[in-house]
This record gives sequence, structure tokens and C-alpha cells, in this order.
Amino acid sequence: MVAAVCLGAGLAAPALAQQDNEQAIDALIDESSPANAVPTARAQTAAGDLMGAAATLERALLADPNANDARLLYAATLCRLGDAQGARIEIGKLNRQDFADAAWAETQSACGGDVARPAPPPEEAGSRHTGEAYAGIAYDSDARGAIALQIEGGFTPVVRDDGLSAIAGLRLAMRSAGYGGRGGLYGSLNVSAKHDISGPSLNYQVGELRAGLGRDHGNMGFGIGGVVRQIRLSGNPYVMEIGGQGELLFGNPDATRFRLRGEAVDQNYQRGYPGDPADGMRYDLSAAVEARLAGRGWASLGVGGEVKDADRRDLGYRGARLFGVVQMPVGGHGQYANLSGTLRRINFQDNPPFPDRKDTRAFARAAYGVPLFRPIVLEGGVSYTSRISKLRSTTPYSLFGDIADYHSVGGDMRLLWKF
Amino acid sequence: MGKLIRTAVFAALVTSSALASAQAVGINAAIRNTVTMKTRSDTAPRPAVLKERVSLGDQIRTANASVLQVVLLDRTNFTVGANARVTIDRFVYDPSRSASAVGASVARGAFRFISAKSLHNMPGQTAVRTPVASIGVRGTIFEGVVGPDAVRIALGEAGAGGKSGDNDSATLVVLRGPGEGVPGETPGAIDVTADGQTIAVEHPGLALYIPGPHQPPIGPFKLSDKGLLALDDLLRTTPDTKPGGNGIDPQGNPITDTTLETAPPPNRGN
Repeated sequence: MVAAVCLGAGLAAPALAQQDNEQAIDALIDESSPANAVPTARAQTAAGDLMGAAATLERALLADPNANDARLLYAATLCRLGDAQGARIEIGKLNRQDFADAAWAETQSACGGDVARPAPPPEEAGSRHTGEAYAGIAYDSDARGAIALQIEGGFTPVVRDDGLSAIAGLRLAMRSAGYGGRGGLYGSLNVSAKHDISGPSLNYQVGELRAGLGRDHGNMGFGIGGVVRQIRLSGNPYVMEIGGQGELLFGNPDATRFRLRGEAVDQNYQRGYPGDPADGMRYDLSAAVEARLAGRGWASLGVGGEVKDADRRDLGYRGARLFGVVQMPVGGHGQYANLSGTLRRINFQDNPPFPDRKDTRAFARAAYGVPLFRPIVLEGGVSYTSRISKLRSTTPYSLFGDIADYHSVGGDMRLLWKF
Repeated sequence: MGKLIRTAVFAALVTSSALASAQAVGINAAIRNTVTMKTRSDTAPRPAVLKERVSLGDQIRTANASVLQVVLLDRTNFTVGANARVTIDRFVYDPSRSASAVGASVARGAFRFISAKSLHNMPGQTAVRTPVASIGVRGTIFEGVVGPDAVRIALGEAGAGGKSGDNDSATLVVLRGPGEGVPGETPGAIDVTADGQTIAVEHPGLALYIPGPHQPPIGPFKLSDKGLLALDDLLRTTPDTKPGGNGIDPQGNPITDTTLETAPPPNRGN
């Protein structure tokens, strides 16, 4: 089958010619690096080698999928080669990405009216909306413990049952045109729900609406507005929170940024009896540093403090927490890995004769996302949730046992639509 | 005299397959993720290396989300996409005449072929073979995919008649360019032969689908944006998503981690 020849091989002069040819290709590979590809491709185009220019830019984009100016020149080159359909696909990949206006002007000139400018990145957009919706299934090794506070040594034994649930959610964020400039309106809607498929009842719905005024321009930003939050549990209203919030932002949004956020809400529990003793105000203050990482990764790490007052003193508390999230792209086809978690320490108020209670609560989730077809992503995750409560009786005759520790290992698989 | 020498060398090398197979015919120009190669003399797969020489008969394998671009000595660019098995099994290049010919076999996976101008000077001698088709190259840019990805893409194409195919051999080929009137470039064209039929594809964006052995080509038909996007996913990259939104919030468990500080009674919800 094999019948292949490089003419002249075997003779000294042609062998040298082949060596020179290979060295020329080595040099071309060097000139196709993401840093050099654009001028190299321009030179090839000027020399009438459009197909060579396309190949050069393809090499660069394999090495660095985020070389956006190279991608725009690649789209322009495809248009020049008569492949407007392929050019539109490449341009579509640049939605919400950074690129130079001059690079876009060249692409638009090469492609004529066949292409539309990609949507600007979030920081530069005028009026915009972004968000994601998801639906999937989740497993919890201790589904019962998630919503039931069980007592060790009480009248009923502690029961831990695993369960399978359906999950769904929506995160939607909107900004008016002026928000990224002189100031404007912002709003967000977050909804999440979980419904048991098998195992113990584990049903909840959480809805949150935020809206207000703000500005995010350059290295400074702020926002102030209202928040309404409602949680339903097992098919019934559980708690409604109404209040205000504000945040301050410092630093370069493309590098490292600091975020200071505060919230004060009035909690109104809706568990079916008037004058719920847990009713009261809740205050939260957090500070976080957010960083863009190499290769379009990002991370956030922060600390927070909170205070809750309740009509019955021992249902109020003071708390502190650490929280963090890191997301890194994996490969060049939109896959990503995400790790997030929180660790909270809650110290409930002393109120003799009720026992003093201290909780340590932790949540961690590791997830991996794979684009199925744009814009749908399949994301799988494993999680761990724990709540460790310590009761210290303040009377000699305690009627209370210890609250059972809650540890649950979970897994979930969800389809995400990012828009 | 020169012609005589060239002819003599050509003949000598054709009869010496061992020497021919050791001859470098291309260079690994870009590698993404997991790509392995094995040679006839060393059949153990090893990771492909940038700027490594590619010889005749070298078997190239790519994993999921992996791509290799090989630049052949005549400047033909051959991109091997995800989940592919490819061999360059024929290469003829006469720099003095600026003439060349290439033969490649794609057993599985996606590929993209950008021909060198020198192929025009050995017309009818360049072809990419798949298990069920031979794609004759007239100097052009085209892409293809062999195997289950071809079946998957074709099933979504009205022009392919919604016909399924053989996961081991089904072949989808699409001409990408150059179009007519491109300065300095000859309009692209390919001749696809399968089951004894040869069909010419002469307009960019048109595709042919061969569902399996002993089946004639279906088409040409216009490959949809969706189909082209699916092929693109196997051959190219996509920028990483740029984060946006009002801040970066870690995900939490709302039951134990945010607002529900007071757990409901033990019998609630059970």
C-alpha cells in the first residue's frame, strides 16, 4: 500500500533541501504561536496565501482558544475564502468576549453584511441580561436529616434515609443601559427547587428577588436596593424575608476585585402559628476578593459575619463564615471544573433555661461541566453537607439530648442552559 | 540529466519501502490534549510531540476533545480532530516542479484538509480514504468525519434523509472552500467515490453522506449550521466562558447553609 517518496531523498543536495524545508516549517510553527499568528497570517494573506493564513490561525487557536483577535482574523480569512457559514460560527464563539474594535472592523469588512457583531462582555455591556437555568436529579445519602432536626437519646430513634430528588433552578441578572456608565438599575431573580423522587420527603423552593440602583464603571462600583426572599418547605410557606442590601466594589474587574456586601432583612416565619418566636431581624456583612485566573479561570474567597435577633432570645444568633469558589476551564472545548464551599459557625444566644447551642455547618461541592451542544452544558457534581450541633444544658435537669449530627454525601447531574 | 536522476531516485525509493517509511513527510504543528502516535517499527503508542517529524505509515490517534495539526512538507495542512485514527500512507513531493500528491487513510474521527498549491500540479493523485469512500482532492479545503459522529451529525440533517448508518464506517464529507472568485485560489472541489459511484462536490457548504459499506453517497446537500457546529466541535476550539453577573457566589445548600437557622420539628416533612 505504501508508496511514498520525497523526490531527491538519498542524494546529498536534495537531502539538504529537505532539511531546509523542514526547518522552514519549524520556523512557520514558531511564527504561528498565539502571540505571532496575527502578523504571520497577515503576511501570508498579503502574499496571496489565504489557505496558509487560515492554517496558521487554526494552529494558534488550538494553542490558545482565547486568542480572540486571532479568531476574528480567522473569521475574516474564512470569509475571504468564501466560507461565510464557518465565519459566522467562529464569530458566534466570541459572544461576551473581549476583542479589539480594529479586529472586528477588519472582519466586518471581509464578511460584509453576513455577520453580526458579538455581544459585548458583561463589564462593557449596556442594558443586558445574563443567567442560567438548570434541571436535573440529585442524590443525598441523608435526605431526612437535611430538613429534620433529630435528637440523639430522644423518644424516637435517629433515622437516616437516603433519597433521590429532582432539582431545578433559574438565575437571572439584569442591568439597565446606564449601569456600566453613569448609573442605572439592576435586578436579579434566583429560584431553586428540590422535590423528592424516592426516599424521605425533601421538598423546598427558594425564591429571591433583588432590585435597586447602582453603577459599575472602571475600578469602582456600588449598588443599593431591596431584597425579598421566600422559602417554602414541604409544600408550605416557611419564611419570608424583606429588607435592603448594598455593596461596594473596588479593583479591576479583569484582574482582582474586592467586594463588600451588606444585607438587613426582617424575617417573618410562616409556620402556621402567630407570633412565631423565631421572627426577627437578620444582618449580614461579607467581604470577598475575586480574581480572574489564567486561562479564563476565576476564584472568589471571602469571610462574613451575621447577627440574627429573634423574639425568643435563644433563637437568635451570631455567626461567622468562610466561603469560596474556584472555576477553571479544562481543555479548550468549554469543559470546566468548579469547586465551592462554605464553613459557618453559629452561636445561638444564651436564654436559660433553654440549652445553649452552637452549630458548625459546612457545605462543599465539586462539579465538572461538559458542553453538550451550545448553549447546553451537562454538569455533574458531588457534594458534602454537614451540621454539627452542640447543646450545653443550663439547668441541672436537662430535658434535651444532643442534636444528632447530620452528614450527607450527595451527587447531582444537571443540564444547564447559560444565556 | 536532472529528470533522469529524479526518475532514478523515485524508482529506488518506491522499491525501498523501509527507507520510504522512515522518510519524514510532515511535522506536528499543533497539538491539543491527548494525541498519540505509533510507527511501524515501534508499535507502542507514545504521546505526540510538537515539531516531531511524521513519517509514512505513522498511526495517529486522538482522544476526546483532542486535535493534531500536521503540516506536510508541501505545506498541505492536515488536521486530525477528536476521537480519530489516521495514517498518512502516501506522499509525493517534487519541490523543483512544485508538484505533490498526498494519500491519507481515516479509519475513524474528524479531519480537515487544506491542500497545498502544489497538489494542482499532480492532478488526480491526492485522495483521503475512509472505510467506505475515497475523496479525490482537486485542491481545496474540506472536512469530514468517520464513524459514530458522522451518524450522529447526519441524523440531524434533512438532506441526509434522516438515515442512520454504520458506526464503524459511515462517512460525512463537506466542502469548505475556496469559493469562486477568491483571488489567487482555485475554486475548491472534491470527487467522492463510494459503492462504485463518483459524485463531484463543487460548492462550499455542500456535503455528502455515505451511511455504510456498499451504499452510494447521499447528496450533495447543504450542511446545516447545527451540523457544521457539531463538526466544528470535533476540530476546533471555543473560548472559555467569561464570568459575568453581579458577583461570584459560591453555591450553597439552602436548607442547612443559608436561611433555615431553625430546623422544623422532627416530624415535619417526614
